[in-house]
Amino acid sequence: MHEPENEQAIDRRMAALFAAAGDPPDRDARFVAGVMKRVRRREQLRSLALGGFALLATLVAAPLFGVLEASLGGAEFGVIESIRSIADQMAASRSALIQSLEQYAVFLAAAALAAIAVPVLGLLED
Amino acid sequence: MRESDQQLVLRAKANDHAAYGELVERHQGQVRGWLRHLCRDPAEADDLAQDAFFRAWTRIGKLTDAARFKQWLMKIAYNEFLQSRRSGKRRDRMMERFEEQQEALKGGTAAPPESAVELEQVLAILSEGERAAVVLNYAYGYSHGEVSELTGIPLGTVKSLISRGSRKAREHFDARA
Repeated sequence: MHEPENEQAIDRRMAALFAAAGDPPDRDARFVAGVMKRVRRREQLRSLALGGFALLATLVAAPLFGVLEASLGGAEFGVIESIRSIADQMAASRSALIQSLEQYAVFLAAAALAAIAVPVLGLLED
Repeated sequence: MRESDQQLVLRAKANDHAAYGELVERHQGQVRGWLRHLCRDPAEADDLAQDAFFRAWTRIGKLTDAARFKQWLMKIAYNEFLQSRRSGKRRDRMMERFEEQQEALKGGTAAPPESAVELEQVLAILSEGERAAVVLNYAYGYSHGEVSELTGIPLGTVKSLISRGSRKAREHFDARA
């Protein structure tokens, strides 16, 4: 019986020590403000990165709409027909195809850059 | 009426900063207190606690059980502590603080209460694992199972860590008696 009693005494003493030591105050506006400042900064950076990506994508993709519109011109509006028409017309016009491929490559590169920018900004922030 | 953690988590998930601020305010005491016992350096503990709350915000969308926010947060805090120990990235900062503390001691600061000194002495003789388990169990009343869940340490190991920790504490108390 001695051992469990001893253990209980240790438990009580440890609990008392921790209770006496206490935690930091329940309310600490400065600490909370520090955390929330980081949270807000991250959200701002994220919005900035996403906005930048959207702008870049719009700038790069805008000329592609012209090509797409030209490809669709006069085509049937059935989905398969449209796709076939686009493919036929793009193949027929080699220069247009190369141009759109170039634009597409630029678009992909820009998208990749923007996609990389988000985690990089996160790392920078840390 | 005071909102539950669960309600605040749901609002925070919807990008509500005020709700997350309230969660930070509610739990900062326990997270910082635990980290202070683990690190034994209040300034470093507060840095880690800030990192933990920030990390929690970035991952809150992945929290499946909103009712278990506190446990989830404590787990993140413990991981931050382990990561800082592994990377040693705070070593320089700690050295700076140590020097600052030495300077402050030379300047003559008020002595901490006896109970705080005794607790510090007990925690100093425990290993990191023992300290983590003992503090969660004794200071915050987490069960062995919860300690295991929070720290990722198997239940059997948690039991032996706590048992070993209290044995060391008893030896310390006996030696002082």
